[in-house]
Amino acid sequence: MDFWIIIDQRHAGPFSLEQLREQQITPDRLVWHDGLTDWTPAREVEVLAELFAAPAPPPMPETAPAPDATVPPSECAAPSSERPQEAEYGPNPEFHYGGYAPRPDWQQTNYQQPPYGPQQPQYAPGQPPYGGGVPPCPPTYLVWAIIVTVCCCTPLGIVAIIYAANIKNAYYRGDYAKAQRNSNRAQAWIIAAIVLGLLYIPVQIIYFGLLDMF
Amino acid sequence: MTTGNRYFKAAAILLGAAALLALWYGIHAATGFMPRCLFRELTGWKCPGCGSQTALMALLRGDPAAAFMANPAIPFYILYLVAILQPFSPRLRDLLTTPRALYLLAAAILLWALGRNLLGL
Repeated sequence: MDFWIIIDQRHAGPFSLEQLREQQITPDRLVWHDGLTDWTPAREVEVLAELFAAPAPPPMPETAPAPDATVPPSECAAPSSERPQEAEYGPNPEFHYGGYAPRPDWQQTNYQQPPYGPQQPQYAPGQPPYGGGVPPCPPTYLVWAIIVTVCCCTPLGIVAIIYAANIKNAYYRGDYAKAQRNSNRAQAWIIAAIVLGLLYIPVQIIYFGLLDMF
Repeated sequence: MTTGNRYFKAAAILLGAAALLALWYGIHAATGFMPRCLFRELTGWKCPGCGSQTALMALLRGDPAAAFMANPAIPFYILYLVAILQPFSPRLRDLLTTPRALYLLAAAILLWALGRNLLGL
């Protein structure tokens, strides 16, 4: 399984479990792997439990965290003020509210809790990316999606528009891996739509020609 | 991307579109052939883009009213495309491409598809 972590406010990965062990990540380090809905503290990631089992086992959470699992994508765009912000992480002394400056040693730094809550680890719309570590938004192919919607006469373009929205959504939440995946899928849908639209024209010409002959 | 590069790209796209348009018009004028909408052929319903070729023909004939009636949504598609491609106001571009704006756009297109089939537009 591949893991991503945040190093120097930059997403790094993929790492294997062994590589994560060498990084000596702390239990509060935010980790993401395929299947998680959001960046999650390492102590709450089940597959990472063995990393922290040996010397001083941290208290395991009673309930499996699945904060966003049931929320449909359309609601992810809700303003962050509607989210329970400090519910899970509030009493944890490891987090520093409002502290942006990275400590010299990133292994201890891991994650500075920004004031806008755990759902947006790195980047909020309208704010300048701090630390310069925010990658550019992956392409949304929005222009292509609309051209496909109007010209190719297939509803595939609408799927591509939804993907474009999901890309932006994931990007604003700081989930760059997910944004990239959605970007790749949007591209695939648009290529499929264009190929289908172009393939259909010769089919029609042949059909048209045959109609003319008989 | 540098500015010169961008203008070159825009010019190339416009030239390509003009060439395709000429090809399309030539084929249509010579044979009367006009590609049909795959979605409409399969389902019998009009898609949100149906009528764009009829509108183009009407425009080339110099009949903007007929062009509008062929698919009244097309001017809005074009307006949106211009708005998200214009180089003057990054703020407007950002505003029109927030997740919420895009979900609204998809919903509006779906509503238009539904409405035109129900109303026969």
